[in-house]
Amino acid sequence: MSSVVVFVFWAVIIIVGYFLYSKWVDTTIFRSDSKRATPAKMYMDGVDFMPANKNILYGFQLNSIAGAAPIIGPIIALQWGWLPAVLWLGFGVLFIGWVQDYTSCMMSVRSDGDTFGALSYRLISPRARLILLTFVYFYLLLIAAAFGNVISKLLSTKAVLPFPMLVIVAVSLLVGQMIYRWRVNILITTVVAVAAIFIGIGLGGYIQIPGSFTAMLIALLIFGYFSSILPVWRFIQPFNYASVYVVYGGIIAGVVGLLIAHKPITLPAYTSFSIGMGPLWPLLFVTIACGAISGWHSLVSSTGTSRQIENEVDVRPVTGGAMFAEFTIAIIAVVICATAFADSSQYIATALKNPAGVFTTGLASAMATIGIPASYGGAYAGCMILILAMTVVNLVFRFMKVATAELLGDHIGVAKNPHVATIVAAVLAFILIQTGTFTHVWVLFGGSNQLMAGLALLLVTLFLASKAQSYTFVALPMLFMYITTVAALVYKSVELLSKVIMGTVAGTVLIGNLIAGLIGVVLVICALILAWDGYKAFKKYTAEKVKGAVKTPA
Amino acid sequence: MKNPCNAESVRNSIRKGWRSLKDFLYGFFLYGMVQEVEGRRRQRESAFFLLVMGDLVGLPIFPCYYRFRLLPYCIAKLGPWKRNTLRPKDLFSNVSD
Repeated sequence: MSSVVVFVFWAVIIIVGYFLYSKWVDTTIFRSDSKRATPAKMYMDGVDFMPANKNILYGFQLNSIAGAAPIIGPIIALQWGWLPAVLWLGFGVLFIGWVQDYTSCMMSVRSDGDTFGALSYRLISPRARLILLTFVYFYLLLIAAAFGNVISKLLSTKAVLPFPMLVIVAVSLLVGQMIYRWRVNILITTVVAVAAIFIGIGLGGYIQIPGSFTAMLIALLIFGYFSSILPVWRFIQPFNYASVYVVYGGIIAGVVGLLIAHKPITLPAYTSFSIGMGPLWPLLFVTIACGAISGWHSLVSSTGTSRQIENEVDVRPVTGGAMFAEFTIAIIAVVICATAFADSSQYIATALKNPAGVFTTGLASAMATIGIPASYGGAYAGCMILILAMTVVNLVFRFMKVATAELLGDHIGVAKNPHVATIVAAVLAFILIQTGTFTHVWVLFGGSNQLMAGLALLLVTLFLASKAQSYTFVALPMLFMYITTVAALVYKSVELLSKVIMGTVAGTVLIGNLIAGLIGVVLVICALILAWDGYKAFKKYTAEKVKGAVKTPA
Repeated sequence: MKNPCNAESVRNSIRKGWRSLKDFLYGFFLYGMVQEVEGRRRQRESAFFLLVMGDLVGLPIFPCYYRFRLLPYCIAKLGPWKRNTLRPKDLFSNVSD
């Protein structure tokens, strides 16, 4: 089977999704109006609320949402065959993914730039905000565990990678110093940084640093601690800036390699409904999150982006456009991996041990077709995955620090201390990674991420219902996401906890199963309470509509 | 003969496309950093306003002499500062930071 078929499918989804469906929703349901004042214009303060050009915001949005997940999720999901993965990516983004990103942003724009905390308080119930915070905390913990596991595994299995990563960290600190302290021209800074990183990747083959999984994990958590404590300008931002060239350089090289090599897909289109990981429904739909739909996007769209939208008609190209771009990255990842192996047994042997390794093999093979040596290509692809994952981990620890202070700060004073909050987050992540099994943690992470999307869609449904507007196009995806993700979380929690109860696991695996299982249960309880409160709020809004409330534009 | 209108419109389209690409690249690579710098400036400015004009947002600060001397220079920023200071903030406000 040629990969051209997949790209034709990709093009059809983009045309139907972006140029037809999203345009229809934008003009007939939300009726975006270029004359209506946006929060960015009304409350302009030069920072949080600041109107920005749509092209600038599009770049900003894409950079904020695209991480390692659109690559790793599809790689794991290829175990069910490439066809289910591609179909879910396509139809997921078409009917749910862009809808969530667009409507979350639009809802916030039409609500004076309010965040999900304020909106859930107002639209659902006062306790909804607290439950949402609890949910988000565990969601973040799972993100840290899932990506922390990927990073530690890759660093410990490929000794060529630790040195380039140390170089990238050092270069990031230098970039921060050059830009913010020495005020060096950005172009010069960029050239120096990119050259140093590329040389560092090349030297990785000569300066190999072997280390155990635990040693690499501890190094990562120390790294996470400093990224949480240091000012953003000192480390996180320069890291993201310097490394983004590596990431997109790799994607471009991979695409060019694919186009030149024109390799056939070697993996089977479909393997079986039930595989070692579990059944296709619901697990495929949580294994592939980003690329199809991701709750994280709704958080980004409803805070940063919504407060900078200059004109309502820009919301569709900025949020919807970025979502379709991320879908493109996920499709490229699928094709790279589906064409890299001679047969599926090779793929499965690598995927089960180290999913990131599948991508490094695939990208190295694609890069080899344009003359980049396989050894350099492999190290480059490894760095690329590490960078994407580390970008997420950096942000998560920072975010967990704030979440701890907000959840516990009023009752336990020490929770407000940034060092204590970060260390608590790092220790929790350490325990979960050390004791948990990667695929279980990844499924739980995907489940919580998708459930976050379900919650975002629930909020939008209630928002539209409160305005007596048509909400079916959001409510149906919301129901699908809610049922699927709760089913996935229940399935995984029961699987994990039953092993603990039956005594089939012992030692650290038992602890890992217990913690991961309980986190799954907490997430399900939070989701069910929010669903119940959401249902009551929905009944209230629809009753008001029946009584004859005036239909107002959403 | 070549239509000058068409040539002009093509040039305009290229110019527009180039500008859009530049904006996209700026947004993708630099916008976050620029926002960070602006945020740091705003934090310091906000701390200064709180010290000098905190009574405007309900802090029990005795209005000092310098407040009136500074007022003409700060007046344009007072509205956004008050709105920003009094706006409820929660975990979700920090996502994009």
